[in-house]
Amino acid sequence: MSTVRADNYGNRLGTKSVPAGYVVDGTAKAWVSISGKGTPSVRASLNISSIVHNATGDYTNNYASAFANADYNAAFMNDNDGGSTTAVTLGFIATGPTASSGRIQVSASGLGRINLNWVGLNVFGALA
Amino acid sequence: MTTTPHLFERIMWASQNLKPVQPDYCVLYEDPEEPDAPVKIMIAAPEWLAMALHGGLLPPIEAYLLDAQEPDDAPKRHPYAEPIGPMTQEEAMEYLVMKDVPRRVWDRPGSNRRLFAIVPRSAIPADQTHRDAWRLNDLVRAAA
Repeated sequence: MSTVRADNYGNRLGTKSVPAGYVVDGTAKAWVSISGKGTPSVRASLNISSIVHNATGDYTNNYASAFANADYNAAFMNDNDGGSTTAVTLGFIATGPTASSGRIQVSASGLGRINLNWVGLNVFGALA
Repeated sequence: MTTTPHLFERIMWASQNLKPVQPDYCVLYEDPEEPDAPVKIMIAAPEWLAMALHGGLLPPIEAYLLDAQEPDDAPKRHPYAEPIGPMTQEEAMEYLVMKDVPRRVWDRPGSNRRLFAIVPRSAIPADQTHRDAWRLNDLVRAAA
């Protein structure tokens, strides 16, 4: 493994550049695509050691390389259950994530918690 | 002097060089802090399992266990700990139990009641209509 060390990355003309920190800290440090219907499984992931199906619509993602603290951010994605489900909410539980894991719940208006075929998570932040 | 690359660098290397491996097993457990909750099902990520089987990439479990004793925002040992060798799928599940299952589930001195089991994934019913009624002993019996 080798590492390119630089303060900035830019185009050849020198007209556009970004600091290395923008690239290093601005890219997702973990992501996962969960198949939540049927037997739960991980379709694909980065920096995820495992997922836990806690109950209907209730998942925990465990990071292989932990974050520096719990002050990171995440973007979520889900499908709409073949069009039969609207107003789905998806997010971390109220106690928030920890540096090494995050518990997320999926709910649909009028249905409570539900399992969906696609549950996705992208996590941004500084690693330990 | 050589330095161990950060674990995330090794994860990135694995993402570009190793084929993901879907696990043959999963871990079932009940958390004593959630006595009314159904059994939890833990599934290894295929990319992580590929790293475990390959060897030379994941830190020793002891590094995670020591980190777990520290406050959440304390410096961590596991990103720079010297990697361990290859594991079998069974060994990887044992490792994952200690890494990702709360210690109160698998480290219960003096207790006879088992709170977790490693079972073939095929033992998990695909029909989840009554998922929130599933209990550990039911699934273990079904897997036997």
